[in-house]
Amino acid sequence: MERQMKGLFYFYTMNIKFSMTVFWSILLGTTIVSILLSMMIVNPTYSMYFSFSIMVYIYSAIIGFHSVKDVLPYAVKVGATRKNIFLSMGIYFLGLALSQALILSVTHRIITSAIKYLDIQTYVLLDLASWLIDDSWLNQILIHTAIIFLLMIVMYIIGLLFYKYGLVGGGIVMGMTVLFMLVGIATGWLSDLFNSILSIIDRMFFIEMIGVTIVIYTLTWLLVRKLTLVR
Amino acid sequence: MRIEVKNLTKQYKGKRALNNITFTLEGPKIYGLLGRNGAGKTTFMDILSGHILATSGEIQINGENPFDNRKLTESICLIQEGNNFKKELRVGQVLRMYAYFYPKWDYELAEELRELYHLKQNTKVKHLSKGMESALGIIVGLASNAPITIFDEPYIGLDAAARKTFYDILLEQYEQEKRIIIFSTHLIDEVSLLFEEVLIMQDGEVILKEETDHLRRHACAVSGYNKEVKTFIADKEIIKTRTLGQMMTAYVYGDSEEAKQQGLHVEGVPIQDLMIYLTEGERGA
Amino acid sequence: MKHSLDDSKPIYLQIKEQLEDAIVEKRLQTGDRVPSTNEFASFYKINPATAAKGINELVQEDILFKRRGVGMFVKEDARQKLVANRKKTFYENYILPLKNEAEILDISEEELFHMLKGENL
Repeated sequence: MERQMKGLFYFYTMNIKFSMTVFWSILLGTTIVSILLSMMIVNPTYSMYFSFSIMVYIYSAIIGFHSVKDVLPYAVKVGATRKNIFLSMGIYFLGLALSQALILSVTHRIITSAIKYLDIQTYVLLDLASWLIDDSWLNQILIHTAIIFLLMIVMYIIGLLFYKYGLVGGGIVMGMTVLFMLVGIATGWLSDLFNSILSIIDRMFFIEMIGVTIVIYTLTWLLVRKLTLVR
Repeated sequence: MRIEVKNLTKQYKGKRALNNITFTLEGPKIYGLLGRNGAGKTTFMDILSGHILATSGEIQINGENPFDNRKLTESICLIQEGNNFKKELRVGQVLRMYAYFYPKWDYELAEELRELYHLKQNTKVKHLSKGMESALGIIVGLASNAPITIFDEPYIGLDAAARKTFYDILLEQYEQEKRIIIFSTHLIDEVSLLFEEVLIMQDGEVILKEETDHLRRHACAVSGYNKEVKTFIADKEIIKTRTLGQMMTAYVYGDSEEAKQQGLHVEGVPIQDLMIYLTEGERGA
Repeated sequence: MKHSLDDSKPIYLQIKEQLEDAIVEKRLQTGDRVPSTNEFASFYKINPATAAKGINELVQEDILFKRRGVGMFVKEDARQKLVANRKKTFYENYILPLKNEAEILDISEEELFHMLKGENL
């Protein structure tokens, strides 16, 4: 691989390692505690619901937003070209989404089978993937990857807008998005769109979703092309 | 390496940090970039390193613009007062990361200096003391072997002995690998002997660019009776005058021999004092 | 030799003067090797280019000569040349200030003469 790209990936990996470790330790810790708590529920008509994937989604969205300030200035300082920053960040997000999806589905499998093995009736681990389409390994990983990747990129773009245009610029874009969605809800076409998406959902849909996210990502070139330090 | 600065201007909201400056730097040479806080030094160094864009005018290094120009960013290493490195990385990781970006990186030197400054591979940057973080910056700057190495107040928190070590190594490395070194500092008296040339900035302009030995020879403090001093300095470029009773001291660019012959008392002016006299505001004058 | 240099005088001149002093005072003699640019630079923590300037002026003035790859050496007759030069400036540098100070202190020429001869007043 090209020297500068290697350097950037080395930087991203070392930088995210600690945060990832902390996140997964806390997540697994709370899951185990919550399972133990659920075992103390005496009345079997009550049960405890816990969603693992939502936590990962939220965390990933934060990572996407935070990456702008956390990573980009240092990439500029060390002398990376804007083109290499653009390429490496895209690959980094996709790679991160894929590894998050992998860890997510593996731990999900392990915990589900543990619950089954221990015959705990009072604990339900919710997962978006198994709810949308059949939960084969591949589907699960695909769905998670697509969703995490999209969240990261959208939040990364918002982060970039804030970085580049300050609170005002970022605020205007956010405001317009919210307004756009409100109009969508009011006129009802947003829910129509959502329904029609749900009706056509299949494996292909998520592959396309990744493709669309990549296309959206290419738009960041406009913001990264003249990336500078903010003083 | 040849750095040409042409009509460079940087405008921030409501403030002009650089005001149409033009000059040329040519290496190998050690330059001192002096001036008070807010004079525009950091802005200039940021543009030179391709970290920010100028509002108008340009910098050309060997005829090319440094912004997003890999050939040049690999040749320029800027170490600033602080926040050079990601706080979550470890010392060893920072060094390894920089090695990817500077093709002439000196692994041995980096290792040798790391031990000299007692930095542990595994310590995270955020757990380093101010002085140790400065030491890491110094290590990176020297080991980068970048043809243009820029130090902007690189030694906050380093004690006098550690700074002296830095000057020693800087000089040693400079002898081995001649390059352009731009050194911006407030501790002028400590390093002025290292400078071959100084630039003094004030209010976004370069008010002086001169060889240090030329300054030492021509800038002098002339003292004597008011009248005699005034006659002597009438046709000279005056930097500053001070009076005490009937006596007067004038800091001027002039010929010290001539002043001596007129019976005036003549002394040299250290670079540090020269910088202060040139840049102090007219306080209630 | 001084342990540090004066920041208010040209550095190359101070290097040059040091070498001249050493030759005049016979601490460096014909054929002796003088410290190199880098040795001066690292001893005084000065810019090597500045140290080189002082040494090069002495080469131009025929006081030192260069042997490629070996270093700089004191030339024959170097001392005589320097001494001759110094005699020229002796009056200006020493006698004139002496007379000025004597005048301020009201020391007569006669008194001064006695002092020079080492006679106590």
